[in-house]
Amino acid sequence: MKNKGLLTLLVLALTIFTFMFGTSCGTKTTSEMKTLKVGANLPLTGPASVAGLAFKQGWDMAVEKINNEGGIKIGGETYKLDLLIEDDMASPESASTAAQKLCYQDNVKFMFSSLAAVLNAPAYDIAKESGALTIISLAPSSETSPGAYFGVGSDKPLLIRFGFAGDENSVYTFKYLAENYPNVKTVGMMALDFPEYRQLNEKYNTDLAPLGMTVGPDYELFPADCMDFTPYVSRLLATKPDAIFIYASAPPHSTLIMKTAREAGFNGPVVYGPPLDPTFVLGAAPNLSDFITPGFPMDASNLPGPVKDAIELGRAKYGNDLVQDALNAYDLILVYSQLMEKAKSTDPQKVLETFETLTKPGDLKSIYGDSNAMGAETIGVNRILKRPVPVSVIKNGQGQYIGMFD
Amino acid sequence: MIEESSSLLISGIINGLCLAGIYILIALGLTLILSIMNILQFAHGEVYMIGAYIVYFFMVRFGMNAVLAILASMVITGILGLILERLIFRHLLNRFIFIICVATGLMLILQTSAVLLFGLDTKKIPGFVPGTINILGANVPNDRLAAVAAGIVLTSLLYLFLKRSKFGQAIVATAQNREGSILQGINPYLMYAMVMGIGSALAAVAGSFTGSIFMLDPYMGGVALMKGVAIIVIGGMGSIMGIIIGGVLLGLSDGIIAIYFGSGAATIVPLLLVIFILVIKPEGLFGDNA
Repeated sequence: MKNKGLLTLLVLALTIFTFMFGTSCGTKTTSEMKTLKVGANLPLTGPASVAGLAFKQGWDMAVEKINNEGGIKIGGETYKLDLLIEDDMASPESASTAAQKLCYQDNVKFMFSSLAAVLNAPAYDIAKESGALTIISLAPSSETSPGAYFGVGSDKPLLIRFGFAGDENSVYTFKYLAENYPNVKTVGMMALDFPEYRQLNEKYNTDLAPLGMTVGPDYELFPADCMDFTPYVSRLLATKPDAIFIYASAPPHSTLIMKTAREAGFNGPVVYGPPLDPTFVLGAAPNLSDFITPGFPMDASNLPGPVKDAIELGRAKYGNDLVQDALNAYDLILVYSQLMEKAKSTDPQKVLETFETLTKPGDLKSIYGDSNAMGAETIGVNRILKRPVPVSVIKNGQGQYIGMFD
Repeated sequence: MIEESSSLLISGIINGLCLAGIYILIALGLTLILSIMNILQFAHGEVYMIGAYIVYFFMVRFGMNAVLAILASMVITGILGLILERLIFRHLLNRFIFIICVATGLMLILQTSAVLLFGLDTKKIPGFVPGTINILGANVPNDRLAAVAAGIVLTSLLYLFLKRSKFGQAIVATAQNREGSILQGINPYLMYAMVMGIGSALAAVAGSFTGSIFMLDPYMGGVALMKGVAIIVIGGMGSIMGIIIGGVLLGLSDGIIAIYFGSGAATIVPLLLVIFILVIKPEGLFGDNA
């Protein structure tokens, strides 16, 4: 009698336990809302951690906003977003390990990739095998750029790109340069010494030719840990460029290059490739002018409403530690949540197929404006997110937001 | 064409001398500590970094002028050096493995402290002497010339201190013969404290110029330590003249090679120079034979 009672209690306890903790792939039920686990790898430690932490800042902001506003509505169910970020330490081996954990222990079906092609490629291989959709967060160069070795394509299942590539941003800054600096004919180029940047002359000559400009005879590649730009800037200036284009570098490099160029007597415009608040370089020299970026001064009064709202949200959480990269990252998650709602499914393949159909401007809304999927004309598949690109310039020590270009 | 190439060369030479000024200040401190205490202070690069952050703190947060900020940084890092000597290094003399472990730990502690206090982002100390001057067709920033001047002045002061002052002579005596100097009534621990204090103060000045001319970040000490060690190898341990020559050679190599041969060569040439000196004269150009 006693044993029968104990057995009944045991069965009851096991039943309750199973009911509470039994899970299907990537979700668990709560009394109110399901949870959608999304993975991400970022360099949170090591030499690239400044960029990684900026992205984490933006992603944390976005997840908090989405969850506070009721979550993501996918096909009749409401999901709370749970973003699991692993540290890839900017090394391909750690990126693989991080992806393994996310895909096989945490069972994520969507993974935001890290910030460099060498990190994205190994993580993607693992995610693809597990059936997860990888979303590229940042791309140094587009798929059509010579030397680019990782990007979306019809040969890469379960891969889409949200992050704009440097050479895609520069189309707009070059247009601004051509319209506002008609005397610029030769553009001297500088970039980080990475393999994918060594063949860019050809691409940029193609981009610049319709604007009446060419790339200088040679371009300067500098090491990632460079602090002293005098040799590189001196050599570049010896070729007498009318403008300098810094294709790829970390923001501190831009300040040092700008400072060195101005000290050497170069007064022409300097164009920066990656998104950057142009006021970042104001420490380079007083009354700086003619520094052009595909970014915006965070305190500009004429920014679009959604951008201002994002800055306000970010400043409330992080104060003056909020950086522009965080806003770009924040936007990626917001667009992702829209995509999930339109897909009405948590199946990665269905989400990818939905994305490929969203080709009209406005099908997705970014904080920068109407966005859509693109890519069919260049790579055969619509798997790249197109967003408007902000352009700003420094004039007389003040950052000026010019507008969104698309 | 000739004008362009000469201004390129002049720019490279001036830049090289500026780098030499900074490297010499780092190496002087390191060689003093090594000569007197027989310790390779692996955390010397982090002391250089802390010195830079102190100047940044005083100039940016308090609006202090550059000279006062640098003097304050020299005093504070000098005191830091005294504390490190008294609490740590004095107890580890002649225990090489322990010194490596402790100095490595100290390095990590100082780096992490800088990250916690100032963040991971690179920072910039405002320019000490704004503007540029034209020298033979090359525009040379004034703050680089200031780094050269600071290197010359501080090296000269150190030389005079060691040669002409009572304490300086005591330091030299301790370096030459520790037991003999003790017999002469010289307190070796006082000498250790002095060299740690002076070496740390010199590193702080070097760090300040780096933070002003270039940038500062919590991990900038590693490169500084490497440069200091390379100069000691080239110039010879314990020789001020050796440090000056080694510093100038390394600085000019960094300033000129990159212009004409690119970044790859600029990285390799100093290392080849170190290997060459180790092969032909292992004690360094001005070092004593063992």
